[in-house]
Amino acid sequence: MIKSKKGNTHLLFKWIFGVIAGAIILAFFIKFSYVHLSGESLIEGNRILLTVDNKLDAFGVKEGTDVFDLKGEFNLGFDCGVLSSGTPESNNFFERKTDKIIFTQPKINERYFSVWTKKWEAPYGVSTFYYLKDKNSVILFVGPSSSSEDFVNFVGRIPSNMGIQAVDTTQFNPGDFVSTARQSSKFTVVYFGNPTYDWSTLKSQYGNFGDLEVVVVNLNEHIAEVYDTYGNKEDVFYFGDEMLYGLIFSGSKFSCTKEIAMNRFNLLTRIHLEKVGRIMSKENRPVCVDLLNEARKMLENYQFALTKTELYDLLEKVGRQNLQLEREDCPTVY
Amino acid sequence: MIKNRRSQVHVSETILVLFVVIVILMLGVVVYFKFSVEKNKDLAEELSEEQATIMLAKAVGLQELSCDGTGCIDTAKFLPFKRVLGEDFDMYRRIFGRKKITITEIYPVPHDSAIDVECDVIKYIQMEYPENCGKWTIYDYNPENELGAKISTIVSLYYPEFDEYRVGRLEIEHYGDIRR
Repeated sequence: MIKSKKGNTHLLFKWIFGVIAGAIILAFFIKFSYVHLSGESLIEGNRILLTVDNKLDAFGVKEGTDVFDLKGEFNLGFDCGVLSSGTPESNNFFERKTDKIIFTQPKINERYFSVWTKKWEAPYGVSTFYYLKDKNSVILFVGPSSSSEDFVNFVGRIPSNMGIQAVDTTQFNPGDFVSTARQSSKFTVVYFGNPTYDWSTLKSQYGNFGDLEVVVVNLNEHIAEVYDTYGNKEDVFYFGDEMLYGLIFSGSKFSCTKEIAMNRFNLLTRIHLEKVGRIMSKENRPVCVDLLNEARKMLENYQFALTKTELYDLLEKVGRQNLQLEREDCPTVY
Repeated sequence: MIKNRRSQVHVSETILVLFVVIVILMLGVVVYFKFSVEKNKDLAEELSEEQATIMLAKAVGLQELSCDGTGCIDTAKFLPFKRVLGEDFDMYRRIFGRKKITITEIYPVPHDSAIDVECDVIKYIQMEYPENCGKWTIYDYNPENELGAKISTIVSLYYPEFDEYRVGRLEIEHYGDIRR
């Protein structure tokens, strides 16, 4: 009896030992697999962001348009200088800061998306603007296509692969676009001139299907009203047609991206201002020194200009001054 | 007494077997991680080179350095750019990352005394400029003093002060790292 008990204890001890040791080894393997998988997912998540960032970099060397194929569906996010992949609540959410000025919808979930790059000059080159759009986001222009040459030219410069639709103001009937809105995740109506249907009317037509945004552009005043998906109105001004394209492609996300663009404009103005100062110190011809000095003063004001009127006024003046410097065979601002 | 010894031997055997198994497992894991780290290092180097190649094309067209629309590099922007870089380093670190960007004048061949002499404000204000120096370090960020690989391209350098074009080499040294 005692011997049997001893044998049981010995067997029990072996079992307990085996179970504990097995559990430790199992825990180790689970932890190892977890570390391995999260490591792989970290690399993959960052790699897709880096690929998108590099592709945009390479594409932005020159102006142009193309359709990007990501070779898979990724949940890409674009938020004011930050690229992201994945959904914010999940473990596979990654972010990467980018220096590029990207005007686009907040999310792109498609394998294919259209890209258009355009240089922003004010009047010297400031940056390359990127406009991105997937086919689930619909932009509809409503404007005076029969009477305004400005509107026709503005629309005509947009590459066809960006998939913009345009309709004349007099022929615009919201009911005609319900089926288009139904198939879209974001529907943006851009009015050029006075809107024929207000935000609430359009919301009642399209609001049930996806995000509706309305932009009302005044081409003469360089201003616009932006109504977000909740009907909140924001008054904005744009500096140059390139920025207006940005407003159209980014909608309610415009202000933040515009701020990045304006910071860059300020930086480039500082560079040109200092360049003019340095060139002046090397110049002997009085005519050139005078013209450069005037240009320097203009750039000083341009650097601190905040209002739309000041900016457009100085844009023209700096452009004219540069032309004058060129005519006099002097070193130019840009 | 003999049985007790036997059971002790059994337990020791089990512990020994477990110990050997764990050691083998540990070795396997260490080897695996070593390969995994090497693989990731190779991937980082590959991506870094890809990024540097793109950067080479991008730097030529960067508005801070380039002439407006003519495909050359404006040397009069170098010193203003370096000043702005000092004020907004974080922004440029996001653009360039861990790299060193230099521009060297190669034709006309600089005078012996000017080869590899860095052009700075002092050199610029001298009458001899641009013959008194032949190199600009536009950007340099290598906090961990890593050894880098170099790629370069030939560029056209424009001196607006003298309305003169020269030939230069734009060189990017990248440090096998995609961090910024």
